[in-house]
Amino acid sequence: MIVRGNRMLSVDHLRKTYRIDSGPVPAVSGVSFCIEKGRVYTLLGPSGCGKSTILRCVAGLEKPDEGEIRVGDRVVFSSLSGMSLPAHERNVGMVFQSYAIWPHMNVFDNIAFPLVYGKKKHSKKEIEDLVEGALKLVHMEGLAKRSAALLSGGQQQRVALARALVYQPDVLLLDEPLSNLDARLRDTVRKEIRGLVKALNLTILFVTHDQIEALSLSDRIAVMQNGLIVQEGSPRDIYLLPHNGFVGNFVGCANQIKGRLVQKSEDGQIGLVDTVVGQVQGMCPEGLFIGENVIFSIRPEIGSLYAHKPDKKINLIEVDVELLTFTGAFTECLLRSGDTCLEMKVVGPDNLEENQKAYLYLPPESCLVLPTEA
Amino acid sequence: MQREARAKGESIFRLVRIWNRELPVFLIALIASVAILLLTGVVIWSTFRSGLPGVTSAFSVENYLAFLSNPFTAKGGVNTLIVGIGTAAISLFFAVPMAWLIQRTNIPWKNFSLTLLFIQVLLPGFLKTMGWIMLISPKIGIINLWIRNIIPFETGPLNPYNITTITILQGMTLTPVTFFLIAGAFMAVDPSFEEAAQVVGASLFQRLRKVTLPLLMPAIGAAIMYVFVIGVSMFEIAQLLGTPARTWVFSTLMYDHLNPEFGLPRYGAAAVYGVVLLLPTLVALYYYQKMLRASYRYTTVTGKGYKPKIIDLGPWKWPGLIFIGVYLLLDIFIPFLAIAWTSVMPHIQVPSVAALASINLTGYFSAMRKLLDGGVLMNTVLLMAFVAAGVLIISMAISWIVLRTRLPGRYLLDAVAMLPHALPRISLAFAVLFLGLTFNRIIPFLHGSLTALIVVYIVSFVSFGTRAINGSLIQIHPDLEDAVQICGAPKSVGLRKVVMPLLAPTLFYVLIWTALLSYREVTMALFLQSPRNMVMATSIWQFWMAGDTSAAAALGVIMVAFMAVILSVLLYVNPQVKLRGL
Repeated sequence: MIVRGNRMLSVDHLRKTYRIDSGPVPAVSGVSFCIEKGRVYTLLGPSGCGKSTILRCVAGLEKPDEGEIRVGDRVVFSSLSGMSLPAHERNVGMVFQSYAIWPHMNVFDNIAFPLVYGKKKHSKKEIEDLVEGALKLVHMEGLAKRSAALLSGGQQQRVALARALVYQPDVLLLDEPLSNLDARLRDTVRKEIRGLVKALNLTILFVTHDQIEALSLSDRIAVMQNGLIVQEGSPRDIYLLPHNGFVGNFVGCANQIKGRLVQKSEDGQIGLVDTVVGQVQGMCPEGLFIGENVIFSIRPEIGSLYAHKPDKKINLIEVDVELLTFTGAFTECLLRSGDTCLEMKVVGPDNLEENQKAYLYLPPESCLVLPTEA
Repeated sequence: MQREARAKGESIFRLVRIWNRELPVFLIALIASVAILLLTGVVIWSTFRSGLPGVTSAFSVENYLAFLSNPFTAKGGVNTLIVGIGTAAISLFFAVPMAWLIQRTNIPWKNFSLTLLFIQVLLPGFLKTMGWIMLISPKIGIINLWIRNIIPFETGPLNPYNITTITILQGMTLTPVTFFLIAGAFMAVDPSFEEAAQVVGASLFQRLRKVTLPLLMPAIGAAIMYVFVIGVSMFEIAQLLGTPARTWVFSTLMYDHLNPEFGLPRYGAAAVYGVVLLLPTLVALYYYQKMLRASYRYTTVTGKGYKPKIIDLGPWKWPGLIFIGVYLLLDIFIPFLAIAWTSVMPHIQVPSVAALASINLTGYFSAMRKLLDGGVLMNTVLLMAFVAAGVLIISMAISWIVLRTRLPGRYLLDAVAMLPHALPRISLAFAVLFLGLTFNRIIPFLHGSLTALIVVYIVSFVSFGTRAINGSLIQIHPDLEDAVQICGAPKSVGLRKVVMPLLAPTLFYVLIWTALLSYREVTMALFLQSPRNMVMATSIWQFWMAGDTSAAAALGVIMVAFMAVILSVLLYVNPQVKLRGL
């Protein structure tokens, strides 16, 4: 017998195809993952990759074609046994991208709704206490009587969160909850959510296309492309060791140079790649063959820039400095070598100016040789 | 192959599951669609039958041949075209300046004008026409009598029984419809276009002529098509003013074939006029849709909801106000004052101190007797209630299916609901009449009954209901309903606690508006008239035809007074309703 541990959500072999008038459109093509109690699991990917469909399938707002979904120890959907619990019996919470705050009710009625109309009955006193507690969690004390139509975007967001937390659902689903907030507010709310997650031991399925949100909020990240998970791992793994160019690009690695793997070191760790900027070395994963087309991937913050040729034998590229932007902690620079542009974030040097020659050194242990996308 | 078959089986299975849960909703929409398609079919099918309905007859083109050889056809056709084009021109003449004045300038009493235009949409055109006949009828018209007191004409000099008066009255009747069709476009034009012209030194008049109006051309063009379509098939004004002078248009010819002075009704021949009217209607509606799409190209629709610049007219606002005032006087105040005056007079006479002595309430007594004794009041109330409820339920079902389900073919349903919009009302009424006669033995209760009226009213008003509800439902984000389910409450709670409250103002508006539409409608009621289904509107008509002007006027006053009460309630509950257009 398989010991399931303390899994709060598991999704197995999920498939969903939309049938629209112009024909079938596959949205999710076989996705499996599970989330343990108290963890934040993020589906990261561009729009149309199927991440929101998975979320809606878990919530019960869409019906998958195939697969199984469990919430806690209950099966809520199984294509094999033909069972499908309606959304209102799944005991999940959800914060919508649009917040979905009911404009004709006040803040109190919005938050109390799941307690009043939900499965579990509560006394009036209990409801008042629970709503008050939820309002306190999101720092909205004293606004209970305000009409929801008069709330700002940030306040709506908080009410939506309070409404999703007030009935203590097994799993909380967040559908791009920060995308409608302005940049500064987004940082604040993100930190608050992080605080709440740890304080309340919440289990969260989070959907986003923003890699910073994903990296900073998640315990685990699944990067999705065309209805499939292309890589799953900790934020650190995803960022430092992307499996392919798509993942690398999506988690913020702007520089990718096409090339061909020409040689591997004896232990197989380092690969030599022939590119338009010359031969460069980088960390080489297993499974790549000599002669294969690859992508040489350079994260922006790993390079060092020199005005005069330094004493380095390898991975030194002569570049033209096209643009320098001082941003405080580091300098953003746009460098060109032939037709190849590189965007780097470097610390120092102070003696550089635009439109001069410079030398970019890339430490091999920080560069990656990646397979091209399938 | 096998896989395909399985997929097909699954999709049927899915359909069955949906059907089980929302069966009543789908059933309502299905029945309504079948009724609409059936009536449309009957209009065309009946033209290929000769003889009386219900009597077996062979397929023939006899009716079309009769249509072509009828000496009235050519004359009637020309008249119909003149009236259609003239109606559009007159309504444009009043509506375009009024839309600009009310939406874009600082003219005083905007709200008052807007309210009256809103109310006018419901004021029965036949009452207004009767009012004008009382005023300018050659022998006894009040204005003519006045003039003859000063200049001794033999009769006249004014005469309403001609094509010009028909055209002017139809045009003025449809002016508010045109107004509300184009008023939105006037608000949506990005003011920066005009400001750009102003910056390079164009005067107000040049800006209007060279920038604003050209930008609005597609919207105005769409309105012309729309009003033309109504204009060519309008019946009541042409019947009151044209028939006494033997000046025919297609709609009155159709009525004449159904209610001839001599001989039997010629149903098939009557239907041909409906089908012939359908042709220009479809062409015009095609261009209407095309121009409607084009009009969106020019207008800027931003989420910010900028306010168009209000132009300060200075002293010119007074001529503007007078323009609106003249329209309101001619279309509303003068004819309805004539009706109010006549309602307390034993016969039509010039207002004077002497005439005041003859004031009496005989007309009102006749009117009340008619209302209470003949079951007219009961019929009217039942008609309003059933039509309003029917339209509301069917429109809700159709809107919900179109916008909130993934039912295959749901857009077809939307198109079917809009179909009666393209059919002249006289054709729809004819179809119900024809069906009632054909199946008199199987469903004897339909012919000449109130049910027949209810059916045809619902069919022709459903397009209004679905448009209004679509417009509001589309603004309610589906997330708001999904959130209800996530919060642990079933779908029905979402419908009850979220959708209904948010939709309530619109539902109320649709309910009241359709009730009043059926209250004032006379054309369809006349085509289906029988002693068993007399309503208020047809009773006024009956009094009028019998020559009892004071009773007709008195019942008209009662009708408008009651309508005013209901409209004030609507405007009190939702003052914004008059801005939503129609």
